[in-house]
Amino acid sequence: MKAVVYAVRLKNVWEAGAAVDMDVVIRYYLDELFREQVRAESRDGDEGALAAAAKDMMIWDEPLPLGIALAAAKRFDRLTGGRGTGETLGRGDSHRRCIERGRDFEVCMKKTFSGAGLSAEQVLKRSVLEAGLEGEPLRMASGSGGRPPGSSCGGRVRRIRPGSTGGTGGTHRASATAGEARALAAAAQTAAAALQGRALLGSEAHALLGAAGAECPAAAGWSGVLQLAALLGRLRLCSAIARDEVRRWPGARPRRRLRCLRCGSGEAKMRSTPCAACGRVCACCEACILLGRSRECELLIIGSGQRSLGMPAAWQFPAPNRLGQHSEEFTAARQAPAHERIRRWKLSPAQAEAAGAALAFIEQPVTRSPTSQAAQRLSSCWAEQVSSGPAESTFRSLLRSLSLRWTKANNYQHKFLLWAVTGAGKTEMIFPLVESAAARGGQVLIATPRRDVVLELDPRIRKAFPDLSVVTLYGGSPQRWERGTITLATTHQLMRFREAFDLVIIDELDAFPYHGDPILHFAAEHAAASEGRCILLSATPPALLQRAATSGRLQHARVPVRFHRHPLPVPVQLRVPPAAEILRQKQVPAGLKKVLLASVSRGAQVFVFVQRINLCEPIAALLRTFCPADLKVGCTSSQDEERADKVNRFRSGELRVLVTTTILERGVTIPRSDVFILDADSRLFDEAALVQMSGRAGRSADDPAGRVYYCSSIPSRAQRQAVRHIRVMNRMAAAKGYIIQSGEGSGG
Amino acid sequence: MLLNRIRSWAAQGLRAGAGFLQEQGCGCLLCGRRTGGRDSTAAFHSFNGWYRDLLPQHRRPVYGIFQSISNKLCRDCLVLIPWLTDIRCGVCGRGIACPDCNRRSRPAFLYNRSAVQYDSTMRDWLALYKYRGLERLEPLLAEMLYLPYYELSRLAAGSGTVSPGCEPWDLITYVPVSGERAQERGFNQAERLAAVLGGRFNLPVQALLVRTRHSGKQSLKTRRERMIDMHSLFAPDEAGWAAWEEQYHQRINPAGKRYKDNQSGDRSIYSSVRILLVDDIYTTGSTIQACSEVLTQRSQSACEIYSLTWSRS
Repeated sequence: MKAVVYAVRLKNVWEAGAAVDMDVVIRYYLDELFREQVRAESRDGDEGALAAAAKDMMIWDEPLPLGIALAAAKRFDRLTGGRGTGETLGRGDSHRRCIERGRDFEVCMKKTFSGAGLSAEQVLKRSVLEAGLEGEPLRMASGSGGRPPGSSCGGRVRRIRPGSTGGTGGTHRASATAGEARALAAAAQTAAAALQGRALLGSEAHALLGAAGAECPAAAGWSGVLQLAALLGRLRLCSAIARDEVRRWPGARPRRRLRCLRCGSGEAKMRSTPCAACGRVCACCEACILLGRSRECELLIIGSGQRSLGMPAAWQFPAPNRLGQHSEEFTAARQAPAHERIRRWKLSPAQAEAAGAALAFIEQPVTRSPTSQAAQRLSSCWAEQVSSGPAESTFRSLLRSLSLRWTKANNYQHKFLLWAVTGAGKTEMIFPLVESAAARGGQVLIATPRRDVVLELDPRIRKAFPDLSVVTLYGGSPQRWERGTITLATTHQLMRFREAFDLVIIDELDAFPYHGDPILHFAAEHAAASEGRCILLSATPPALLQRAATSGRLQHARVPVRFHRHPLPVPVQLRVPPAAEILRQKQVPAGLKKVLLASVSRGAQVFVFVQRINLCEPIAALLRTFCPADLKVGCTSSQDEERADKVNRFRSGELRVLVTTTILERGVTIPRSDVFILDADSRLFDEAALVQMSGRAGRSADDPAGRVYYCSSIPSRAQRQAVRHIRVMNRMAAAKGYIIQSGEGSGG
Repeated sequence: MLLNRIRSWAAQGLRAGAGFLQEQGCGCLLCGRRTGGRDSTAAFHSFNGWYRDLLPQHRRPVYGIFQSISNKLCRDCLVLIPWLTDIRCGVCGRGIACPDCNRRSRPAFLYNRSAVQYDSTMRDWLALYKYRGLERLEPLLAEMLYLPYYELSRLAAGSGTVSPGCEPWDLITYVPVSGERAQERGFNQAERLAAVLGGRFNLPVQALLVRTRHSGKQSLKTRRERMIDMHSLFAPDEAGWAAWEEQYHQRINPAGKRYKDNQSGDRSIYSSVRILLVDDIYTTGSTIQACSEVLTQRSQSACEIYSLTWSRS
């Protein structure tokens, strides 16, 4: 995609920008008729304030690749701002100044070209290297008949004076253009509302707007609509991959690095290829390629994160925790005290206590760090003194980056960890939180790394909140472009949101692929509104979070007991040779055989976990040799196409023994089950995996004492840690009195 | 405190080192698992067909290609490739007897050869590259194209000898895409493949065709629709032709004597021009046929057109 660089003089300051639709920009700044229509359309929205009419305007008449155009505009702003001439420009001798300015503009354009390496010789050389040709440069878009990319800096500056456009033609044409302008302005308002809280590529935005029912004005097209919305300050148009400048320390020379604005990946994930859309070699992000290609010359549309008008009335008021004060409207909605509201959901005492702590956390006002408060005060008093200007904006951005760095250092302040053991009933605990946030008019996101969990959660959430709109998002979801009060999504889908949710709940945060994938962390971080809250749910939090929680930096609540208030089954160590050895001897050790048959005969279903996929089938065959004939033994793995079917058969009890790998370590609930882990000392099984696998046993109130066996020759460190983890949780539950006394339990 | 800091530094350093080593070992381009290396030779019988028809001097590079491909893919992905070595239709290189070639009254091209049979796996791979824009697959797909290239070179050379570095082609050209498609996709897959091929075998790559209008996706149409749709869809790219003709005439001195030239081997310059037309997929041959017709009409001297496609459905 290409864009045109322009600069306008508003009052006494020059501002530059990159336009995807130059026609709309010219009319917006110079055509009084057009401005009137836009003003009329945005009157009902208070913040749709128009910029002042331009006194002067100039454009670089050669369309440039989007990334370069934006960089040029930025450089222009820095050049004009850095000299402090912004304020004095309008006085008296504006003509001479403007000529000077014009020269500056050209200088800045030239600098952009040299910075992007677009001099003709270099491009030529690069093309030769790529095409393996000599003399003739690689022609990019065959059939477009365009020039070779090397000669693309043949533009020049063109001046446009106010009054030179518009005002021509009869009244008939004027009325026609007025109607058209009105339609365009209306479309821009709807587009801005629909794209709020989103970060979408150009094609995705078109699909969204099409689905949202905005009609595309024939004259301007979607790019005109988006351009107008951006001029009104309701959207940001940027290139999907941009160079950001990082200074290692103050005063150091900035390093320019490519960064994907959608997924946050750095240069390591970029691949530079010749691009037919912009006619130069441009970078493409491979980390997020499965959600559509983000390129340097691709448009990324970031909607405004704040609540604005044009939305249902409930959204106009920010949630109280975002303002730090409770407005009148919300006291009505949240009159009931916390414990009353929690009681509605019939939680166990342990669940209720943790949910209460989380509820208090999301409802308390934000405590700002002193630095960011000071930064805000400073920037506001600066804004009073100097009306506006580039120098001020640079100063403000400096302050913002400082306060950002500070919040990054203690970035746990808006997070809350709900550390609940396997089978504690995490989903029930989030209901009161969702209810509270929704009642205050906020939007709630529930994200999990796995698609099947999303599909499983969907009916439960819909049943619990029948009067709220629920949107379920996953790859290929039919509700892809809808918005609702509650959004259920896989973590990959979060890349399409930006500062959209007041409450973000991330389930199973230690599961693959979320754990250890920086782009998903980036997405989750940015999906929360600037003062939104984030609830992390896990049975086995990563070590980093555990440390933060125990040291007090991260607020958390533990649920050490299952919903049926029986202790977790403690794993038993069995001395068994490795699975490969068992297969070689073609004989199951007597000890293992005995307990396995005991489990089967007590009527339990048995999970047998092995470390590798290729062990599943032979182990299952070996087990079939000594099990009773009517006992069905199955096996499944990630490479099994009938996995869903086999898991269902296991759920229904048709299969009694299931040999599997860690793919079933979470998410599957069997009422009466025992767990055997072969090769428990394998390096593939860390503490979290062992705890999760042990958590498959004893999940129902009917059979709380399931059996867990770790089969290995020597207990590994991870095994001992897992056992300790489970014991600590049981002890904690006993100390808090959550556990039902055994007499009581057997009596009931 | 300090100890903790030092420990975290050490951990970071180790992680960085491990990451570096992993990059060197690089995983499968498609699924990211460890690549097979030599291990995979046993599981890869269908590849051996490529050795059968090749001249002795081509066997060494084919072995190299096999090594290179098996370094890019894991064992499981490697065995999924349905190599098209068992050819039934001599014209279009199909694995089954082919009614299309018999039906075609005046074929404008001589032969087509493809690397793989187009099946669901190959469709997914091609979709990943073309539509998703996963450009890291490009070297792999191009390398797969080298094999039918050798085969086609053998056919083109006929009884004459072909030695490496002395290719029997005058130039490589490719099937164009429309301007809109190029805008949307960012690249023309046929052009990319042709460029890699030209770089590898040191042949000139020239755009000789343009697409006159934006037609819908070929993959959504029936054979008859395609035939109708193809009518006057392609036109010669005059700029490309001019450049090519200039280049071609540079090889001839004004007296018309043969200029010593190792590009064209021992062929006479008065023999017809041999053009290699590259595309990603050959389904009914209507695209290749239409392109070949335009090329033949536009060419001032007689020309032989051979088509090289990545997959044959």
